[in-house]
Amino acid sequence: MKRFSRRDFLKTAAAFSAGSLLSMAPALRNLKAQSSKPNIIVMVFDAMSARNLSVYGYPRSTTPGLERIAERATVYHSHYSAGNFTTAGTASMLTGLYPWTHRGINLSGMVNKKHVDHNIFNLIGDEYHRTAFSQNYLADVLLGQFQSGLDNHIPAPTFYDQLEHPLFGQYFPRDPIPAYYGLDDYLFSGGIDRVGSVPSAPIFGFLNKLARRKQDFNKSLPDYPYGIPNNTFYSYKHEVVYAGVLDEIKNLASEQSPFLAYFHLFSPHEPYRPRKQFTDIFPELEIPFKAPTKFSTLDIDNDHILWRRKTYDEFVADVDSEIEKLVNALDEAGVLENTYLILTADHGELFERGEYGHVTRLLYDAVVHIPLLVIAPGQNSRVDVHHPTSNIDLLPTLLHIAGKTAATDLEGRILPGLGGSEESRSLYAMEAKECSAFGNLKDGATVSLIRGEHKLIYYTGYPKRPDTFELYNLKDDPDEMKDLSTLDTTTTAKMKEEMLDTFESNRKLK
Amino acid sequence: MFNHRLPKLKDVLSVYAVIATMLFAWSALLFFWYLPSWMHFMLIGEIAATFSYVIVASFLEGLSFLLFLLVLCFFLPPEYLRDEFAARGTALTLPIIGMIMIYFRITNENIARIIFSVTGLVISLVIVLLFYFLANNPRIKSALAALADRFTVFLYILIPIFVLSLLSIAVQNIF
Repeated sequence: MKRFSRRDFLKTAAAFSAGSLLSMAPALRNLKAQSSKPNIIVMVFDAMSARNLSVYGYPRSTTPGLERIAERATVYHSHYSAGNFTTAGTASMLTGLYPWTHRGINLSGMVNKKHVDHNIFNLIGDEYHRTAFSQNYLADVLLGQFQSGLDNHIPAPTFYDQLEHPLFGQYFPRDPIPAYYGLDDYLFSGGIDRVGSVPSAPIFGFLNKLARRKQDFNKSLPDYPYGIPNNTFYSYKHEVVYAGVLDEIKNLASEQSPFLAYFHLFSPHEPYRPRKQFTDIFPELEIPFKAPTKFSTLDIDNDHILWRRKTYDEFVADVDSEIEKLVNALDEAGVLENTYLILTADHGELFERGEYGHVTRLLYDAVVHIPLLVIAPGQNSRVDVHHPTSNIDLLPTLLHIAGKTAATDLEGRILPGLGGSEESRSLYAMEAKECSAFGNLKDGATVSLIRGEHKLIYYTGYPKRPDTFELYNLKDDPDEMKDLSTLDTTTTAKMKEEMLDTFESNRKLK
Repeated sequence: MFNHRLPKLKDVLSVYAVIATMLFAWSALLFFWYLPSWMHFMLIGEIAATFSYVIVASFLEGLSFLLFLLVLCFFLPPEYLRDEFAARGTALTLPIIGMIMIYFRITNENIARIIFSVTGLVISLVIVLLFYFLANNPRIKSALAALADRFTVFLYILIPIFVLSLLSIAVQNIF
């Protein structure tokens, strides 16, 4: 037998070491990837208006949790949605484009197919694992459109308590858009139980209406005095939804890195159904009365509006408690060490001028001013950004965070505080539900322009209403009570010119 | 065993032809109403797939309604519905499906509410029974039977469309 020499020993040791290193290579690569690319979690709270959050100075203490979270976050004080309802606001956030470009302007609408690939999931690329979930079906339709950019599209009916409506689309996960439109939206009118909604299957649609009349989701329960929250398709409990989201994130953090996770949660969207411990917790509030305008479509009694506002505030407080629990749990699990956590909304909620909700022609701050808090990895102190920003800025910002070069055709900019600068700019929002998404936006549209401390609102094309401009100084008059369009004619003329130039050049389908 | 309870196959096909034509026409009309918008949102393949889902749903809906009529035949004395099913079945199909369609064209909240009330139910029942009893008139009866018979020709178009739609859904979701 050959003797095992010292040289042989050294050769064997070297080969063993090299082998070990090679076998460890994938793990090392993962570690490198983990350290170089941060994870990103975007949490969207549907219809959460910044105007009703105490973290932004609202007198009712609706968000003590967010106030504590804000102590270690970048807080954007003048963040605006480009739309006043889910489709328009979410499409703007996920594509980085204004509604007049992406054309998701109708209820249950979608993004123009020319711009479908222009979404965050697609642009961030497969270097990231991409997961998305939406409890709101209007946003889930958009996720269906963006499905080719998703590694995991969690079905909308997940984490629910009780189905209110049959959901056939979920049985055809390979066909999300045709199945949703062909069956759930088209067959049963999207589950929207409104007069004049026309299902493609009249008998099934009629039976569905009859069946829904028998259900009573408004029934008061000991824990839910106003009934269990629901999204018109199913009822759900906050604690179940948030626990489910936490599990998903923990799984992602342990199995996928880097990841981009998008969670679009329905609350505090109407119906406002806080749990018992959050009802009647706020004192009455002195709120300036704002009379209906000629563009208000409703004239609801002000006492009723105030009662709605109170239940909304209670519902926000309920959501806030869950957000804080979630953030603390993520922190304890160490997920936030290498993760950007973004907390925001798709649009706001309005309780004024004869209306409540967000299915409105109006673009006052309450319905477009939304929260944005960003916790960067390892952030321990608070940063306040007062510069006006838009939700179309989120996409370029996330691309920047992910180390991607932003596309040149973006309408948004990188957010200040996260790599962008505070240069002067104009911010737009648009409401055009009454228009054809592919026409020239002439059948009733409202557009707002914020520049500096001024906000110009333009109403155009509404039947029997002349085109109208309103001007407000948001710094001196944050409640938008005093229309300055006839008093400050210089600013009005300047902003009007800019507004008309921009709107006219974007009216046509691109 | 069921032969003495159920109508003749030819009559069943005639009544199904009336049901299917009404429902397909409704679905197709709505589909083409939405089509210009969908062309901007969806790819051609997605639109075709959506159409497939609509057609399959519509076909199954028609079968469900036919099943309802056959169940009535099974339990009612033969002279009420089974005999001359083509005419009597058509006399029930036209007002029931027609009224549901009219209901969905109503945009007035108050009228819509009445339809779901006891008054609405009574009015609907009276209309359906009126059609049913009118079908006892020999001239109306033969007209309804002839109408149903002529509708059968549509099944030659509708059934292949349904089969193709069903196949396309199966291929997309299974393979």
